[in-house]
Amino acid sequence: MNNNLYDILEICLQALENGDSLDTILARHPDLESELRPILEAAQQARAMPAPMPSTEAMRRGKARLLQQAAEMREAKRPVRGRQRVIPLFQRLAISLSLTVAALMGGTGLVQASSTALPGENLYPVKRTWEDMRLFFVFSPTVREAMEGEYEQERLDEVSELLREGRVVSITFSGVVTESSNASIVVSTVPVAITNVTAFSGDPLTVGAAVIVTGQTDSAGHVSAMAVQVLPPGSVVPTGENDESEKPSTVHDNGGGSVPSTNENEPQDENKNENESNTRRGTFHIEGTLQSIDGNVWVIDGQTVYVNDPALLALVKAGMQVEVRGYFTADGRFIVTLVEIKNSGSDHTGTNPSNNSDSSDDGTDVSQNDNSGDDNSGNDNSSDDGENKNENKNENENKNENENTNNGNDNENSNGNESHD
Amino acid sequence: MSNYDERRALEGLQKLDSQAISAVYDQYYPEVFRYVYYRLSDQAVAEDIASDVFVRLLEAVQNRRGPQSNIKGWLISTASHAVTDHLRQRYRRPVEAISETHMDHQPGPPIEFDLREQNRSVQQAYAQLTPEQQHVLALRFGEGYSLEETASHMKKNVNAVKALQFRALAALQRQIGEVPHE
Repeated sequence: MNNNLYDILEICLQALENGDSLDTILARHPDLESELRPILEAAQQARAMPAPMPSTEAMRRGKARLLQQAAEMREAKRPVRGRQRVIPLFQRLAISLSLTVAALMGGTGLVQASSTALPGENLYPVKRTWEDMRLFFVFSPTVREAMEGEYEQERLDEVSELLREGRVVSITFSGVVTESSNASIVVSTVPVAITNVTAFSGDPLTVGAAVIVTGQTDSAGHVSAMAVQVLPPGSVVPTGENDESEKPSTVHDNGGGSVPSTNENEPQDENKNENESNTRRGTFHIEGTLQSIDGNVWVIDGQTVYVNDPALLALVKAGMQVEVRGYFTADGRFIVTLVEIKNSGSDHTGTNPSNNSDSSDDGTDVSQNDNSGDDNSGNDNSSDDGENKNENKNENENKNENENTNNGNDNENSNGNESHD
Repeated sequence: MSNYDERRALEGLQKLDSQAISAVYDQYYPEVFRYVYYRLSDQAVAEDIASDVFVRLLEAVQNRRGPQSNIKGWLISTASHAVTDHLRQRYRRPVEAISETHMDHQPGPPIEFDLREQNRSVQQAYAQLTPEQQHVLALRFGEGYSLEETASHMKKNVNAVKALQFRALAALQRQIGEVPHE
């Protein structure tokens, strides 16, 4: 019965669809009219419910969204490069965190043990990883730069140690070229042999240039260079002077005019607490004829030096025999911090400018020797420079220095008042 | 329209080919939109849901859960589920008289006003039906599908759809009688 009713309803709906009137349709099924009429009226109303077409704007928006989604899916379907990008970062974090946890949980013994490791030793990778990890967590540019400088110095020390022990190991280090000849250079105290296979890159190699040397230490106490990369001006490299008071100053061979400094008058046991950055920078001597003066740029026996302190500029004239002391900047410039005038035949004639000023922009202190002519009246070596609070603690040392000065020795006060940056 | 090829369209969807995606969208969006609008009587929501359905199609094809042959059937079925979800959410978080806000209340001739009032009554009555009853009426009277096509979309046999549409129309008639007239 019901199936019959459903069938008849479908027939009636098709008739409505074909445009037949309701009464015409119901007249064909008089016995079911009472049941069919409300159903068919509902069908008519259902058919009359609006079903509009979408707006063009809606279609455009929807399609744009869909195509955007497709583009993102296409991008996501390129998994290989994406994973390569992500995984190293993840590994980096994981390794760093693992090492941190290991260090914090008592694994510092390993790190400490590795602190003296040299290239080629088993613990050396631990040492380097620990350095990388420390740098990873340093966000202050200043601190980071200082740490990087410290590690560069460590590389240099490692090379020196390897050479001392006569080991043959592949190394890379950076430094300042302090001597140069056809067959060898000296980079921050490390002798480097140049061979036919040594590859040079970057700027022309000159004395004073900052370089990265890649090569191999040998038992003869040299580094055999495979590659020498000359760094651009401004590169920060260690000079190889850990502590001026402990090591002789490196002699800068400027072509014949300079002589080694013996540092004979320099106190050997003071300034232990001197700012490390000062000691790391090191001090170099140049002695020779002052060939030309062009503002703050002097040429001493062919070597260009820079004088940033105006007080120094007033002291000298071209043709004078001078000995200057200073340091190399990161970009390889020699900055004069002290001048001693050696007139012909004279051992010492008016030496350094003496005004105790620390006003040099690059931190030079040109006035340590303010005591000439006075017995001990110049003992007040206390500088106004508040940064050098560890200096001149030993009064006896000051007296000795003053005596040296009065004796006419070419002694500059090296009591650590070189407040380099 | 005549260039549309269902098999190629499916391959294009798989490859995320923009032209194929556009072709599928142009081919079926109006039908999907009409279906959703019929169910909800809400232009903005119908546009959003219809658009969502095509994004779901793309995702399903990429996840190999999409249609194998009948894209339209998949779209309508998905649209039906989306509408049901929407109604469920609306039921949980009712907003004031949605149908009221989306009805055209602009002043017009008395005959048109009566027509709009009648439509509103039918829509309110329609909204009281079960989702399945709404679905069968939307397919048959909103989309104008045949009994067989409706049965195909609903994955039911023809006799079941005949019975369902009978009960749906009877329920609609009942609800129209119960809708309060202003």
